[in-house]
Amino acid sequence: MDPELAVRLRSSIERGFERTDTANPRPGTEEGSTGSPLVVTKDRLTRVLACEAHDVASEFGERRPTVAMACGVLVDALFRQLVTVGAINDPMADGMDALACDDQQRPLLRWIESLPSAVRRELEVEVVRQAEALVARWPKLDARWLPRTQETMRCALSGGSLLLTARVDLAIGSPAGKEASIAIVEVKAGKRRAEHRADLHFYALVETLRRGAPPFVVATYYTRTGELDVDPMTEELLVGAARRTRAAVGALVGLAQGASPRRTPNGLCGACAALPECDPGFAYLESRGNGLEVAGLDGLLER
Amino acid sequence: MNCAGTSSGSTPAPGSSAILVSDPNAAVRRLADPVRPPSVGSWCDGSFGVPASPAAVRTRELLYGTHAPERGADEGPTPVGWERVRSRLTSVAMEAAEHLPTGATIEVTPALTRQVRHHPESPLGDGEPFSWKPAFVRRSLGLAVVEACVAGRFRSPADAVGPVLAHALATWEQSGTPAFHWEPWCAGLPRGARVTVMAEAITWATALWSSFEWGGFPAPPRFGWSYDRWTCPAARSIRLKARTEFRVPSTAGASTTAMVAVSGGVPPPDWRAELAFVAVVAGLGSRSRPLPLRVMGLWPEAASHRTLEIDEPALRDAALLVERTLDAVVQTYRPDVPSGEAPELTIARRTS
Repeated sequence: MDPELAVRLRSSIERGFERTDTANPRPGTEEGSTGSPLVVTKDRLTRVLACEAHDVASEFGERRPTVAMACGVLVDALFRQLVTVGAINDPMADGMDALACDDQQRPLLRWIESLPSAVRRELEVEVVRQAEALVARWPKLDARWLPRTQETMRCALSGGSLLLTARVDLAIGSPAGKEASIAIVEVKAGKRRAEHRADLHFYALVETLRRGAPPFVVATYYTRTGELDVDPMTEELLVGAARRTRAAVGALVGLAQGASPRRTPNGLCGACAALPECDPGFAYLESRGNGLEVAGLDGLLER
Repeated sequence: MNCAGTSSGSTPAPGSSAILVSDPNAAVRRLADPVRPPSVGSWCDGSFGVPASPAAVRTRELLYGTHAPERGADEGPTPVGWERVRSRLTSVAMEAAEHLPTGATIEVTPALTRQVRHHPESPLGDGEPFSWKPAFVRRSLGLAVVEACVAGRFRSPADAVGPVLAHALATWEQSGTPAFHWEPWCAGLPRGARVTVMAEAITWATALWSSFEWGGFPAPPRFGWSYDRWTCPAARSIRLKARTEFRVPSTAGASTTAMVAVSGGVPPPDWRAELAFVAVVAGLGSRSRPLPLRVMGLWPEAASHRTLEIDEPALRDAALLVERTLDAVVQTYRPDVPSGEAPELTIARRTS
């Protein structure tokens, strides 16, 4: 891979950001101010590219919990436990205990505790099923490979005005200068989706920008099926991720400058906080036979 | 991780390949083939001009600074320089103390300086009551883990964390005195929460562990368990407090030391002043310990490091940072002065 690739990727995103940002500066970015940077995460990227109105609606307030979200967060905690101590004894209890000591997950914890017993039982059955599959399938990693969970990656661009940030479920390998030496794994409790791959590519981009070397591989592990989708690293993958990031950053800067958010109906509409005021969203859901109806946990997990 | 999303499909996208993890070893081979353990103790001859790993580069930079060693060792500020900064901080502290209500104290820490920079209107923050959480344990447990690895007791943080935590809890149960403060909280945690504490510590420790060639230090690093503190003798209501993760003897002589401070996030615009502040607190806080000659800041999340040579301009930067911080905090005790404006006026007067 081109050793200057990281430099080119960085300058491509910075040029895109500075072009839009300086055309109409956001409050707080003028010289000498202590303005906050524009923070870009994988979720913001996906949201703003899917629908700008959805991104604006999601920016305020907490996400509405769903059974699928609860299952994902619990399995995430159990995966972390398995990697850390190599065992899961009581999946639901262990997962809930892990949530209880995480301030950000307290609302979700309370929501799970308030579920009707039948729904909670259904959630528990699925969590236990996935935990058992994890224990049976997930390999024990050699400690010398330095496995670490929930590693935060950040990269400041444009003098700190733009901050790319990510948190990966699992990273292994030791940084080795310009040599690709790190593997990144994202864990998903639901079905395979197109945006999972885009998330991974964003992680690869942030890792490349912050260290100057890409990971040698990024992968998504699907706990329901035991499948591991592996993306070998290529220049095209990183260039594509940078292009997507640049497009999203442009949209986010526009919104921060007060542009009216564009509404582009998509599969997220059913879970969007802006739906009650969104005619295109309603029309989209109606055209699909009301996507709000969901049957059973399988349906919930697909959302 | 979550399950929300738009489109779905049951086959992998073009360009990626899916494997079924029915054979765990196959998955490991697929994921970890090129993964190599970090080299430990392989760099120790001080030779230069050889391509080195980032860890070796940082190790060399910590020992010798960013200058080539043949330029000669810099011995840092003179005793007069240190005395000058002590005197300046004393007068700054005395002035600030005059404006404090009876009984009020100010503890200037790197966190407070950042709060002042980002939120000058509310320098004291929201005053949220303290309660233990895994994020508050990861640094001290992680540091104990790294120390155990450096001592050769374990191969990696993942190997070390369980025994180190168990030892800390057992020692506390026997002695009744918590060495880390979090032992009583941690002992009462259910399994899932305790594992979160361990996982947080592993991630934190791995970042530090993989940042240096530990065998490259001429003497064992001294890990920083407690804060450095300096209390102004003439105004005891003002204290400076900072910490470093570890220090090693500098190559300039036994009377000076090189220190490493780990922070979250990305290097701030005024990283020089922050690192200088850490050095000043360490230098003033103890008359018996070696004076800091160099401070390396490590921001693992950004995979960044910065090295600051401690000289007289660095000491002045640190003093100015303290002045700004105290100014902003003192303003909160002056309801007649609009916050966010007056501190800058005061700073301008002092620095002109």
